[in-house]
Amino acid sequence: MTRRPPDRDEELDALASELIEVQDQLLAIYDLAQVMRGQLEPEPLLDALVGEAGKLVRAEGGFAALEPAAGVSLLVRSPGSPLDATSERELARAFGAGLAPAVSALIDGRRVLMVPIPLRARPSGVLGLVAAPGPGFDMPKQKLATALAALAGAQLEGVLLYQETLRRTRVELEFELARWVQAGLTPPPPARVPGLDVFAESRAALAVGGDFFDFHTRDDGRLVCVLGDVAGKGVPAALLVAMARASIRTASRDPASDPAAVLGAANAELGEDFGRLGLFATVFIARVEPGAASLLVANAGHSPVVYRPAGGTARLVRAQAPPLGILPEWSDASRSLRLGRDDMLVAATDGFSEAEREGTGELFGYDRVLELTERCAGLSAAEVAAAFFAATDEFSAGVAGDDRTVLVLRGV
Amino acid sequence: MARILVVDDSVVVRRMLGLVLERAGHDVSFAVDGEEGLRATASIAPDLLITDLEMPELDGIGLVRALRADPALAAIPVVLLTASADEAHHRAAGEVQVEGFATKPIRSTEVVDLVASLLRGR
Repeated sequence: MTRRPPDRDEELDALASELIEVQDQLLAIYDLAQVMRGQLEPEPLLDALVGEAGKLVRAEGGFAALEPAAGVSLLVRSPGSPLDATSERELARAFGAGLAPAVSALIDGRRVLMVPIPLRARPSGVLGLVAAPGPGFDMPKQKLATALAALAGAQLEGVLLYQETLRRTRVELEFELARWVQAGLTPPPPARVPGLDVFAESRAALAVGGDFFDFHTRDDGRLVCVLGDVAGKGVPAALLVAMARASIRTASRDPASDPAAVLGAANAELGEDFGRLGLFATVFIARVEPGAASLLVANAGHSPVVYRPAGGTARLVRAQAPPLGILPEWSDASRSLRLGRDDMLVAATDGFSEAEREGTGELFGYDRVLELTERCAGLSAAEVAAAFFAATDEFSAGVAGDDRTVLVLRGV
Repeated sequence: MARILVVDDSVVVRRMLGLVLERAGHDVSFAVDGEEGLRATASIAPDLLITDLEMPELDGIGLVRALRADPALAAIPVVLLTASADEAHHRAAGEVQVEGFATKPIRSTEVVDLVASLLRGR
């Protein structure tokens, strides 16, 4: 056994002391890296940074803040930080951008060291460390804090990238699901009806919306054509479309019901659910009267439809009743429109009339819809639909802001 | 203040642990291997012993077994430290009854906290 000599070797002790400090720092960096590695959220990661950096530089307290530029705005504080949260937020905002490697400021009589938390090589946040009363942090401590903040920044990049990927995956998954539901609800073309050329097409914008169309033939042989738009987007809208479509189909089976009565019945069935959800649906129904060369139509708050009699001028036929789901009771009368040879009806969702010119925000509008219908005289129903899509594509430079669905009925 | 015996063949570790524990107010003695550590334990009856695992002559496991076999020394709490990454060494450390086990390097604050908690628990 050797007893420590009473005459201490001060130099050796000083050396050991430095060694202990360096070893402690290395272990803190190791521990911090371990803690950070398992984190998938920015908050606990910043928590670990503030805690470990504070211990290492013997700070009285600290905080870390991420600026909105980082994609997330966050403030994390150590318990018992001598500064209040408002001061810390102000400091983070003031020093958050373009921060030099480290800045030391005197705040309320305390030395506060602020170092950048870099994300993608840009300062996107701040680590603030409050010194005990005295001269503040020396250079080695400033460098250590800077290194720790950089380490946290590198880890944060991974965390934020993970969160962004997760968010995008969710959106894409929902989009796919909604598309799948909507595609499953797209009806096959109607059976050939003598004297009628009919076509419908729906094109989804980036986010799947609530546009829908449907055809069904009643037991009495009358073809019912439906065009609608449910408020909302994504999976919720797709589900509401399914509900609205089913409800309208059921109501249409009643041999005594005309289009307006169908809409009234659908409103009675859907109104409560839609009202509870704060949603509504605009629906246009046209029933083809066989042999009579005419249509019976009703419109629940849907965009005006365009009617162009053969040899005449295209005009708008506006809805005179509100959308479904707005009022407890819905009532209107069906209107009859002649659909003889070359008479044409175009029902389109607002994705056409509200197509927007990039940069100026100018809308396609109904004047252009009417002009377009005029130019389409003599074309088949499918060609008319294609012309509507082409015209709005050209107007908005191919950037569709909303779903577009068009139904064309033409007497032949 | 407690009497603590540090047994380690590395002078660097002895110096560092000595300084950390003295700063925490303890009276620290040293031995360079298990044999010397056993003799020192019998001589000074420390309140706590910190020993390295791998040492010449008698290693840390041997030292702990010898202590536990002596009724006069068996109750002394022991902290076993090792720099070894060998699983066999870790298993061997787990087979002897020690109050504390840690891998090197260990943060100074952790040493102080570990010693304080073991001394409180005596």
